[in-house]
Amino acid sequence: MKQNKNTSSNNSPRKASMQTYHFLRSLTHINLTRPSSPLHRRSRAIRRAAYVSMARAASPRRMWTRAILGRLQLLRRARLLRRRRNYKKKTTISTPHDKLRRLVPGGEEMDFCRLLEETADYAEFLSKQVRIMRSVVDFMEAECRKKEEKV
Amino acid sequence: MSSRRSRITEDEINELISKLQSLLPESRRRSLGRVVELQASASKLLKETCNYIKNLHREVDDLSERLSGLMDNMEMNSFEAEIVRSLLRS
Repeated sequence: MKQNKNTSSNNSPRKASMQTYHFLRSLTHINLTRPSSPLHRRSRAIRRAAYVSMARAASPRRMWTRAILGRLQLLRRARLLRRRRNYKKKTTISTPHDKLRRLVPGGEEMDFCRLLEETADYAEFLSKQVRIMRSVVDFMEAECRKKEEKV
Repeated sequence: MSSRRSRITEDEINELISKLQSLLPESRRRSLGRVVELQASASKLLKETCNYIKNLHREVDDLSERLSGLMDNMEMNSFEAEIVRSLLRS
């Protein structure tokens, strides 16, 4: 990842702020490099930054972090190709097990017990990410409102 | 939302324990009815977990869209100030 000018790494922040730090750093990066790109492309970049910062803050031994940081794009494309090929044969009803496997990144390659562990971990970081994003959005909206009041 | 998260983790542990219990041959012979009951609550738990994670994914998408719209309106200087302030708060 490209470094911004003032990244100090003398003291490592706690895990929660680690996630915030990664996400905000990605946001500045996106703002710097794509200031005039269309909205949907930027929102996709922000979404990817959200998942990457979750994965960076979590333990690298987790399957879901490895799936996000590593081969997620390849997995997704391979899965899309497989689904297009099997579209006509799709008559199986998906059980809740399968649904959960598809929701958690890397879930298709785990046994069920591991899947439950990973789900708990993934849900924790995901809810933390939602909280971070909500506070950033609230802050930015407050700033915009303040600017409008001044004008 | 945090209370909901702890509820899922606790239930997961219970579910794993009940799964292990159902694998033991004695409990299977003794309480077939209870095993069925446990299986029903396990599937309910799974569905609830799936819905929870799906909702979180949807929220991330929605918040990303709002963020990208807001980044449009903000200038560079105030954006960096906001970043520093958010970092200091968390």
